[in-house]
Amino acid sequence: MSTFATVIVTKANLAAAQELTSPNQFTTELKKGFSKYYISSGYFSQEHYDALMSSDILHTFITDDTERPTKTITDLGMTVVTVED
Amino acid sequence: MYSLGVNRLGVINTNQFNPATLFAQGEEGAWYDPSDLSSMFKVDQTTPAVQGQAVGKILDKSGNGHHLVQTVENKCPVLRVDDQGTFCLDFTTDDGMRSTDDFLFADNSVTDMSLFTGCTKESTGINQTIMELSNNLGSQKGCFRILCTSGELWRVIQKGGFGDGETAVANVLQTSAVGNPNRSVLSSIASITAPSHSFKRNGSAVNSNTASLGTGTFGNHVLNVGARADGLSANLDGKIYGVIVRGAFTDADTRIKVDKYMAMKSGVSF
Repeated sequence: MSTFATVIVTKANLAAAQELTSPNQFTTELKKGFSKYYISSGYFSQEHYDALMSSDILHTFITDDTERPTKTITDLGMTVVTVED
Repeated sequence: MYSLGVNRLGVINTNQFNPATLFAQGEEGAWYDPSDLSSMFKVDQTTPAVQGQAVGKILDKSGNGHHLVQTVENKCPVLRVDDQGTFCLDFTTDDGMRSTDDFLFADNSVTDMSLFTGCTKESTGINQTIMELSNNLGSQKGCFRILCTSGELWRVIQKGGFGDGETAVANVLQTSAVGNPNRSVLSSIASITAPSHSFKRNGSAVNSNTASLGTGTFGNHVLNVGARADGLSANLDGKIYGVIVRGAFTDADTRIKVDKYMAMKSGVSF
């Protein structure tokens, strides 16, 4: 079973978030002013979802799968940091 | 009658080519074919896909089971027949698909990689993803990426380094400006152990080198198509006609066949 969520953590909590899930998650950087954040959106395994839910590292946690992550980001006044590969 | 390449002068037969042969020896990888309607489903993952509507699942025809999915309807690409009568997945700036599981390139000690796609970009803008192994190549090792980006060009990045203590080097090749919109067949073949990288567009060499990709292997990662990280960012505004990822070296004759196959699927001639 998996559960949809859009999760944002601060840069300070990035390592903890990846420790609870995987290094392949929270790889997209956001910014708001001088602050940096990381976002992961999609269907989380129940183990990862529960681990995130019970942690105290979440900045934003949305489970409505009809809300596009781009809207969430815009509503929070954040922007995706685009680094050209 | 020989319509696509067979003649008595030794031109390679491509009209009977079946990409399944690329995986006949158990090669790790995937093959996605939007022209095969039986391989695509709506967002519920079970109802057959319909032209003009969202596609939530496309089966991996390589036999490796790395199906692509998108479970959020407004992030799904749309199945279309384009102006040249070819089937495609039409991605917009919110869409993207991701494999249901990791490709096991590290587990299989894969050090050679062959990538093929037919695609169209329909707007300018940087970082538009065709395919990417991992959710973000910049922070990962043992991955690859094909994208269109600033300067109206196609770029391919192959990067080794997966494994404890291994080193990662991004080996980058790109076209010159191609304009917009642009429809192309792209192929990239690279090796970590025998350092090399070759990039072709529409059957012609774009560039090649023998520079390092680092050490180690390609990694166990998910594959993203049409965007980065399950549609989260770096979205393609354009169409994809086919994708083949093969964790093995592909010889020159076979590469011609695959490029021609992709051309046929994409409405590209060369």
